[in-house]
Amino acid sequence: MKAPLRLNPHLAWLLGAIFLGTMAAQGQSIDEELPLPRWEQDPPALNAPDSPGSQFNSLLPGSLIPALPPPAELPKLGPRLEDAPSGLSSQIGPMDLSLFLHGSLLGSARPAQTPRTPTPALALRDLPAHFLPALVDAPTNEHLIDPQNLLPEIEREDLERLLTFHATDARIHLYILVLDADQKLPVDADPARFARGALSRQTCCLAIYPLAEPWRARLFLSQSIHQAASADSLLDMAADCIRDAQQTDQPAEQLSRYAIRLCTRLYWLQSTLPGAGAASSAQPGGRPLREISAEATASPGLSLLRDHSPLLLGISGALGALLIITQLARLWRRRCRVRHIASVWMLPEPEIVPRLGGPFSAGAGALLSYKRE
Amino acid sequence: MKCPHCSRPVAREQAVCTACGFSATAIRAYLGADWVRLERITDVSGRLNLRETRHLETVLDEFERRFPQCFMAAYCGALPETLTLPDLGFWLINHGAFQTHQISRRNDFAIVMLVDPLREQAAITVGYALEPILTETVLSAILAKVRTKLRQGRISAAMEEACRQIDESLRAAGQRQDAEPERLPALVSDASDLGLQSLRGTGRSQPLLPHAPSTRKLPKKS
Repeated sequence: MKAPLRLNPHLAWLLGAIFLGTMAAQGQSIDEELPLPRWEQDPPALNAPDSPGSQFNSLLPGSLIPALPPPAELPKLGPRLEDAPSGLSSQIGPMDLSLFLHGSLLGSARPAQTPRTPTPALALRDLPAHFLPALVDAPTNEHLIDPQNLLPEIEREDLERLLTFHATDARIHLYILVLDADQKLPVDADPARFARGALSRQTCCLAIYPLAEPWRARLFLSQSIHQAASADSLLDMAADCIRDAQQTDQPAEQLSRYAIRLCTRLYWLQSTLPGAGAASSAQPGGRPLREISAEATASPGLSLLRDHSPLLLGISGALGALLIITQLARLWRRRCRVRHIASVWMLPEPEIVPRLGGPFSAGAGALLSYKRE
Repeated sequence: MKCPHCSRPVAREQAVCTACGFSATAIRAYLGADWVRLERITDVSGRLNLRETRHLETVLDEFERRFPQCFMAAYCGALPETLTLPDLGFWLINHGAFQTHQISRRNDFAIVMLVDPLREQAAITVGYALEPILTETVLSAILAKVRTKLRQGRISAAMEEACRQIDESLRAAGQRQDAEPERLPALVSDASDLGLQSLRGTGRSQPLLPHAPSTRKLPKKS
């Protein structure tokens, strides 16, 4: 076992003095390069009220009495940014609070993004097929369906809280399916089967929302809603939500605004629904969900046409076949006529016995008197 | 077989009608014995305008194309009281040289439709070769079908309809054959061999006469 290390006290005092002397020398050199700010007699001046972040100037260090007018006799309240040494970065200015504070707090626009170019219709691609089972198996109580995890975590949680709160308080449940900007729902996908069929068992609204392209958002509503509300009002609701989402350029914020607006409009809409004891949205033999589309407002008969499209298809097919047969018959008759044109008829030549002295004719024939009696 | 003048029955090879004395000799004494050149459409009464005449010619051309042996002629005019339409028809077929596209067509295959707009009578007379097909019954039925048009004064339309009805009757009795293509003339001595007729005279060595009836049958294509 070794003896503990012991330091000579005199040696320790000597080392400490050397260290302090060295530090003092370094500090003195720094002072020469970076002089300390000088305290001024004048109080710091408030920024112009309309400049970005001006309303938060009271949060700056050195402002002990916020919101007070700057009287001349107030003591100086600390260093000011304009007194910063020139050696600092020239980009830092007194008004550039956005470097220190979150943009949403400033209430000012973040650096504007380039307006998104709408995805051409031909460039749209279907949602990959391997995501469809996830849509069907989505939990009933999760109203935000994002199988591709397109939303950031914070926005996702905010949206889920919003939709959950809406579900607890509203009669029309809102489900939002998030797709990528260039994606669309496959034609053969049945929205009524999503969330384990919850969309067909209750009065609900399904919004299929392509992230960053709110103008392509699609809304599906239960049949009871379509029956209770006019097609124009539903179309107006859909357009209003899209307009509100387009107030911003941020995709996540667009979706947030869209969801909030839609929740509000659904609240207004549920007042038109019949009482709680009315039949549920699931109707035998009909589609539980129906999309809000402009075609429904164009003509009330178009929905009837869609419902009877197989029958109409059969009728049109029969008419088409009849037309083809008629044209073929005309062609056949024309061919026969052409063939007749190229044909002649030869008559038999009987034995001729002249009568009444006529070499070519005996006057055989018929006579008609067409005088009106 | 009836007399065209009195409609009394006439036996085969009978030269003169025993009831009225009608015969070719008798009618020649009234109308003459010379051959006359006739257009297919003779409108003495002026009841057919140019458009109707041209259209009727087209119809008759088509009839002659389908029946290479036959031709149909039309006569429209007022007759004196002593002459009936069948009398005139008898004389026209036996003494008329009709201007058809093929001069070789025989008059025993001729069909003549006559209309007297003043008497308001119409008649159809046929040659010997067509008597078995276009009987009096058939021709009476055809005239009955055009009665309305005649009463309306649409003589051209009535003639066209009669031609169409006769066409149907002959087709039922005839044998259809493919039209024989045009053949190049073996020898060309002058323009008449190409169907062109010189303006200097008739261009023929003999006067225009209808061919006499022939017992020789035209060769039938197999």
